Order: sequence, then C-alpha cells, then structure tokens
Amino acid sequence: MIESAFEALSIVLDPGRIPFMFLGISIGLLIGLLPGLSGTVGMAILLPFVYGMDPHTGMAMLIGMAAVLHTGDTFPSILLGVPGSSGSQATIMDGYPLAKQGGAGRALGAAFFCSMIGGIIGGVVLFISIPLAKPLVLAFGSPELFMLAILGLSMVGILSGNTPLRGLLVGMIGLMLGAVGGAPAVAEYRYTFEWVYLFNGLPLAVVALGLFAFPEMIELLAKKQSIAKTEELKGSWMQGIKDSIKNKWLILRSASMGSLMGFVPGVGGSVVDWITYGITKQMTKDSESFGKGDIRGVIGPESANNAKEGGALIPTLLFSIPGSGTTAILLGGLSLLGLQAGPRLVNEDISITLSIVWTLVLANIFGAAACILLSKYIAKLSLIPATKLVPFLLVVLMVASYQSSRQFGDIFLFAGIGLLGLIMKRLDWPRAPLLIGFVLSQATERYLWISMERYGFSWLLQPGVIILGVIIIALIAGGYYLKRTSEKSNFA
Amino acid sequence: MKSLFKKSFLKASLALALLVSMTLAGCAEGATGGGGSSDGSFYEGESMELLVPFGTGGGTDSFARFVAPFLNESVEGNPSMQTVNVPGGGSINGANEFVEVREHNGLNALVTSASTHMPYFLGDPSVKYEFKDMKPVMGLPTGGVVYVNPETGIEGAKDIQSPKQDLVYAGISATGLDLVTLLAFEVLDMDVETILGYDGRGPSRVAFESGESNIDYQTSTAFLTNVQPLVEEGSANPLFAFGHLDENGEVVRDPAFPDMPSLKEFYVEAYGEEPSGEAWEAYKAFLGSSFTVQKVIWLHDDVPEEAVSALSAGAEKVAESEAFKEEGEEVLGGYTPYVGDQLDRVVSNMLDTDEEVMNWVKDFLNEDYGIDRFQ
Amino acid sequence: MSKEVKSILFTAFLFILFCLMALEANTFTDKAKFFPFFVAIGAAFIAFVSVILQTFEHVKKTKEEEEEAVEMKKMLKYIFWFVGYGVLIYVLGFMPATILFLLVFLLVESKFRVMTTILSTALVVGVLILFANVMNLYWPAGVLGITLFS
Repeated sequence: MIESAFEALSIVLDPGRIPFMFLGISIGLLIGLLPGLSGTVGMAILLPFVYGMDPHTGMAMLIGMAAVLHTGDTFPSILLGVPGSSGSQATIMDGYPLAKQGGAGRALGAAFFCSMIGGIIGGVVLFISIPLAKPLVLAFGSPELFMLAILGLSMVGILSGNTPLRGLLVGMIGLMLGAVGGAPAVAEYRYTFEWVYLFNGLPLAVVALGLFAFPEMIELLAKKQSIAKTEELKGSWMQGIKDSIKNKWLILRSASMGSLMGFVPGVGGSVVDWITYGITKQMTKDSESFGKGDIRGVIGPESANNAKEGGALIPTLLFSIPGSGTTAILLGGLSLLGLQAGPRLVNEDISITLSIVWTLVLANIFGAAACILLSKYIAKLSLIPATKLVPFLLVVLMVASYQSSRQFGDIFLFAGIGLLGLIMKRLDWPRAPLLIGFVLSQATERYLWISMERYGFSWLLQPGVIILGVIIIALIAGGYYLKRTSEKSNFA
Repeated sequence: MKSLFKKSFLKASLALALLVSMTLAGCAEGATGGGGSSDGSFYEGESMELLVPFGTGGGTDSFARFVAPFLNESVEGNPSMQTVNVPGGGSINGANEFVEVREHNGLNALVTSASTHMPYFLGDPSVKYEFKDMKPVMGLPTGGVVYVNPETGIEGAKDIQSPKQDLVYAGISATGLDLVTLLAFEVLDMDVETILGYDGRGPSRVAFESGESNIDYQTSTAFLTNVQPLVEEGSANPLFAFGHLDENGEVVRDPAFPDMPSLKEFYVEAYGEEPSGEAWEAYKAFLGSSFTVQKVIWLHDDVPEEAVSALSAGAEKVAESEAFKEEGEEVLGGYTPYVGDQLDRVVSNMLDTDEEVMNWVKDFLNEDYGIDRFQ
Repeated sequence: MSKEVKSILFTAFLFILFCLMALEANTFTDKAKFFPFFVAIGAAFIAFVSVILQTFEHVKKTKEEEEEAVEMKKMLKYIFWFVGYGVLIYVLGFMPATILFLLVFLLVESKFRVMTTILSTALVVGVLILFANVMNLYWPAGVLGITLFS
C-alpha cells in the first residue's frame, strides 16, 4: 500500500498534470469566494474539459476544485456574514463578529491555517480508512442515520443561547421549510400549490443567502457604516496562525470528527460544521464569549469542513453514494472519465484512489497558502462603507441565487426568506437553528419513516442507536453542567 | 481611507483577473475547431443547444455531454453543441420549458430519461409536454437485474413462493424506475414488503448489503461494477433481468446479459405457462419507456425537414462509429443506441399505450401505494 | 412598540402559520402527512406557550424602551430598493434592470460622481458578461423579453 502510495504521488506530480490541478484549485477558490455559488457550478465549468482526459488528470482537476471549495468560502462567511457555501455556515457565528471588531485578518489566518491542517488530516483519514471503509459504511443503517440527524438537530439547543424556546421554534420553521416539495415516502408534493418551482424543495443556497445576507445588507445600509466598526484592521494572519497552534488539540479533534462524519452518507456532510461548532462550544469551560467573536468558534468548524471532504469521498468512491452535493457531481465526472465508482476503485483501480488522496492533500496546502496571501488584501473589504459595497454585493447575490434552479422563484424566495431573516434579526431571534432544521428535515423524515416501516419500534434497541442516544444526552447534559459550574465559579 | 480602498481594490481585482485568465486559458483548450465545409447545409455555422432537464453530473447529463462532441463531428455542417441544464420538478420543468419557451427551429433538442417519461404516461397534471409532438433522434437502452440475498433460500424460479425469510425490498419511489420492479413482483405474484423512501439506488444497495433489505435490483452498469463482486463472494443470487422490448413489443433477453433469463422466461420456469393479464401488459408498457428507451434525444416535430434529416443522419453515423462505442463503455453501459427507423418503431411502440392498462396502473398505485395524484 | 411586543406579535404570527400548515398537512396522504403534521402541531403548541410566557414577562417588566424610528424608516427605504430591484428584474430582465439599478442607486444613495457611476456600472456589466461566459451562469430574461448581452 505504501509503495503504491508513492507511485501515485509520482503520477500526481507529473508535469503534464500539475497545470490541470491548479486550474481546478483556482476555480474552486473563485467559486468559494463568490457567495452563494456552490461546488455544483464549479463542476459544471470543469465537466466539459474532463471528457477525453486520462482519468488521473481529470480527477486531479475535479478533486483540486472540490478540495479547496471550503477554503475559499471562508472569505464571505467571515467578511460579510454570508455563507460562501453550505460548508461554512457555522464559521459565521464567530468569524463575522471578529470581522466587525476589525479582526478579519486574524480570523481569516486562523481559518485558512485550520482548513489546511484539516484537509491534510482528512486525506490521511481517507488513506487509513480505505481497508476499513466497507464495514464502517455498512454499520450505518437507517435507524443509525436517523439518530445522527437527531444529533444534528440537538445542536439547535446549544446554539439558541438564553432563549431555548425561540431556538426550538425557529428550528421547527426550518423543519417545515424542508418539508416543502416532494415527500420522501410517497409520490406526493407538499405545500407546493402546483407551482413547479417548489417540486424539488427550496434550494439551500437561496435559503442561506436570504436568511443571513439580506438582513445584513439592509442593516449595514441603514446604519451607513462599513462592516468593521474600527478604522484600522487589528491583528494579522500570523496572529491567527498562532491562535490556531495554541488550540492544536481542538484542530485535531474537530478534523477527525469532521472526516468521520463525512463518511456517513446522506446526513454527515451537510451539518458537519454545525455539529463541530456545537461540540466545541459545549466542551469549552468559558463558553460565554462564543457567538461574540471567539477565535475557537472559527477554528473548530473550519478544521472540520475541509477534513469532511476526505471522509465524504469514501461512500462516493466505494458505494457510489454521494456524501455531499459536490461529490454527487464527481460521480458524473467519473463516468465521463470511463470509471465507475465501486469496489473496483480500491482493488484494480487503487492508483486512482491514491492519486485522489494525494491531490486532496496537495490542493489543501496550495489552496490555503493562496488564500492566506490574498487575505491581507481581501480583508480590507470589511473597511468599505456600506453604500459603496452593498449595491455590488446585491448584484452578485441575485446572480448567485438565480443559479440554484434558474427560475424566477429563486429571486422571489431570496426576498421572502430575507424579510423573515430581517424580522428575526431585529427581534434578536437566533437564525442558525432554522438552517439546521432545514438541512436535516428530509433526512430526519426519511430515516424515521424507513426505520419505523422496516423494524417497527424495535430499532430503538439496536446498539448503534443506543450509543448515539447516549452521546446526544451526554452532550446536552454535559453542556448544561459545564455552564452551571462556570457560572458558580464566576460567582465565587 | 479612500486611497486604501482603491489600492486594495486594485490588488484584489488583479488577483481576480489572474484567476479569470487562468480559467479562460482552460476554456480555450476545450473549444472545438468549428468551421467545416461551406456547402450550405442546415447546421452550417450554427450553434445547437441540448437541453438536459436534470442537474449537472447525473446519468442523463453525462450521456448528453458524452454524445455532444460526437454529434458535432458527425452532423453535416458541424454545429457546435452546448449542453444546458434546466433542473427542477423531477425533470418536468425542463421538458415543459423545451416545449413552451424554446424556439421550434431545429437548434434546440431535449434529452429525456425514464423520469421524464413516467409522469407523462401517468398523466401528471403538471406535464405540459407531448412526446407525440416530438421527433426522436437517438435513443439509449439500459437494463436491470433483480437479485436476492442467499439467506432467503431463493436460488431459482421454483423458490419464489417459499422464501425462508420475509422478502423486503428497498426502493426510492413507486413512480420512478421502481415501478417496473414492483410490477415484476406483481406479475410473479411474489409477496414482497416494499419500503419506499430511500435516497437513490446506491443507498438502496447499501441497505441490501447491510441486511436492511434482501431483494433488490440495479441497472446494468451498477450491477456489473457493484453487485457482480457480491455474486462472486456468494452474498447475492441474481434471479432475472428485466429484458427488452423488441420491435414487435415482445419481451426478449437483455443484450448486456445474454445468459440471464428475462422476466418472461423466469415466469415460464416458475409457473409453466406464459405470463398474461393486466399486470403483464402494464409491465411491458413501462419496461419500454423505462428501460428499452431509457434516454431519448428529441427535436420538436414542426422544425424544418432538413434539420431532422441532418441530425438523424448524424446520429446514425455516431452510433456506428467505433470510437463512440469504445470510449462510451461506461456511459452507454454496453448497449448500442437506437437510431433511424428502428428508433422510430421502438418509440412509437412506447407511445402507443392502452388507456385501460394505464388506468389499471393508476389504480394499482393508488391501492397498493397510496398515490392518488394521478386519479 | 418595544421589541418585546413585536416579538410577541411575531410569535403569534408563527402560531397562526403553523396551525395553517397543520391544517394543510391534514389533507395529505398518510405517508406524506405524519412528519409535517406532527412537527406543525408541536411547533404551534410551542409558539402558543411562548406567547403566554413572553406576555407574562412583558407585563412584569414595566419600562418601555423606544426604538429609533429613524433607523426603522431607513431600513424600510432600503427594503424598498431591494424589492424594487427584484421587480425590475422581473419586468425588464436581469441585465437592463441591473444597469438601471446600479446607475440610480450609485448616484442617489452612494453619492458617486456621474463619471464614477458610469464606470463602475460598466465594469460590473463587463465582469458579469465575462463570468457568465466562462462559468455558464444564467439570468432571468424578464417578461418584456428584452435580451441584452445574453
């Protein structure tokens, strides 16, 4: 295995292939940088070139793009409070407050450094777990997947701070929005009013942009200020890297968690960042500063979301089950290259899989390095006054929203969700739970339905379900306990 | 402050320009050398759009993107071929757009798949397209194989009525490709508990492997790459292939699985007589539109005659080309596409459905699977 | 109106919304119904409890804080800008609407000089066209069917 690993490295470093990997990386960074555009757009750009390439080159390009998506998307999350893509939602929670305090450079430095390390760890996990992959994926039946969805939903409690009732309510709005469109268990469309736009459900990118970007832009304009309230930017990316090194165990923990969750098809990929954020917050003793610009709130999810891509490749390559939107298109790219995902990729075609691992690692290093170099300049976006920034941003977001399904409904929905988000922001309601509920709605319903239909109530007694149940309870109770003790120590 | 803004803006745009130029450089590489002879054929110097009603990267999209450069080469006048994705509404959306919005000028073509055909035959209220008003140019077949877990004790046709375990089937949706499987179970009068709601054929195969289900089917390519290893290690028994409809509407063996009995032969082996009845008629109808011509490239039928003949001739040339067959092994799944007269016959077979049979299917869906959308 | 009162109103609105959604869910077939129906009922219940709790808290607290009416007015103005842009896109199509929106907004709101405004708009249009070609982006055409640069 080690020997073939080095053979694969020499394939990846072939001078004829390197330019294509860099083409992939630059497109990945560009797409991540533009808020609202997802890996789907990137794959759509690259697929036409893929045809006719040799498999190694084609994969180098596609993986190069997929690997750095969640590196570049950190820019809009931290600088504008707008999720760059689905993977960097949780980074907003502390990254954006940091930018408001003028610490954009520091947050970006930490984020990219963690992305790099996380991505490398993800690649290593992918490499190690190739022989273990099959039993691991098969261990997750529908009941276990349902429990994982519940684990994700339990983050709502952690994220809603002092207003648990409101958080719960908002999470349920998300669940209901997620129920719009085709039902999983039967061919029936719900809440669509025979409008074809709604048949496929609401697009995540539009919901996320509306919820976070729209209110932010309006408020910035109304207050006539720039994003950073300070005149000067404090702290550089070096400082961010130092912060990260101080929290090395957090990076390691979050990255391994991220890649393991990426493994789980259907549920893992979409909520990795929220779950890591929640767990980071719960396992920290002095967690009051979370949500107000705590650098650890950036380090946790950013280490995890790049590591996830490594994990997510396992179900994609071995079982042809996409672990995320990007990997779904990767499957299409594979078949254009004349390959079929399946057990063959770890037997006869192992060199392809190994070159994917190497590309993943290399792309993460180069991508993060490029971002760190750019961050110094791009961070200054946060100093531009709103009236000079927002109109351009609005145009970009309108185009981005429209790419989701290319119907006017996208723009309509962007405004609608935007108004809802604005009201919630003005009234100090937490907005993150809506996104979590929305993302997990389908999975929760689907796997609950399948579990009940297949096993009756007996699935509740399966060992995997019990283990996950204990973890959920421990997390919620543990967080409560930690909060109590830290409050006590504050009084003392 | 202002100078700062300008400076950073400049540098940022420089970086952006760099990225863009790299992208452009990549594009130039992929651009095809247009031109061609100047004998004034219909597609001379024209640009044609292939509308794919699915998102990027799915099976239909891969098919369209794979075929496009071959059509560009073979169609007289070498039109440039653009693949355009219009996803949404389970492909109804894009197909509606093709009929209602796109110009009927021969420069627009639609690529459909079984999920586009299914709601049309079932009379879904949101379907605005009519295949009878379209002209097929190329059709691609695929197939499927049904297999069971050996622990069920089923080894052949004789055992299907006495399994050692209750049979559980993991499916996606009764109105998708699963319908053919469900109708096959109905024809064979097998007692199978069906759990619908899985996220795709991949997840349903994982459910089979982990023991959540014990009877399953996969389409040809997926069967060969993912189930064949299971068969070899003894954890799956293939039972039958769905088969194909020939030009006379009869079920014949699947060309990709010449050694596997079709459902018809399997039935004969089990019951000693030829299958018949409404379920069998329904099975044949949906076998045709779901597998025999699973993907079709269409033109509007009121476009100039020269467009149709140029494109059809091009498609015939493509289907014969050796490079096409060789490079398309994964995308085409080992099948030869239908073109020309043969295509016209299979498609008219597929469109020629008996209303009684369709009503029977709608009742079947309503009574057994609680779907009243088509009533 | 203070924030608390608005919050109570918003919660009440959610309560009504969830009730309506539960009613609508009641018309679905069983397999499609169970999830939205129970979630909506649960949510309606929580919204109801929340309204009561918030009202109690509000009554206990007596001090009323006035919100800045000025900021509210400004926000409404910008919401109007955004929505107006959306409507323009619907009517004129994306490109003409964007050009118009940028020209007017930059002149009126950002107080750019005429020259700067025109240059910025031209730059945006150029970049958009470039990106659209490279990245296969699409934008709405508008009901009037004006197709500019697309």
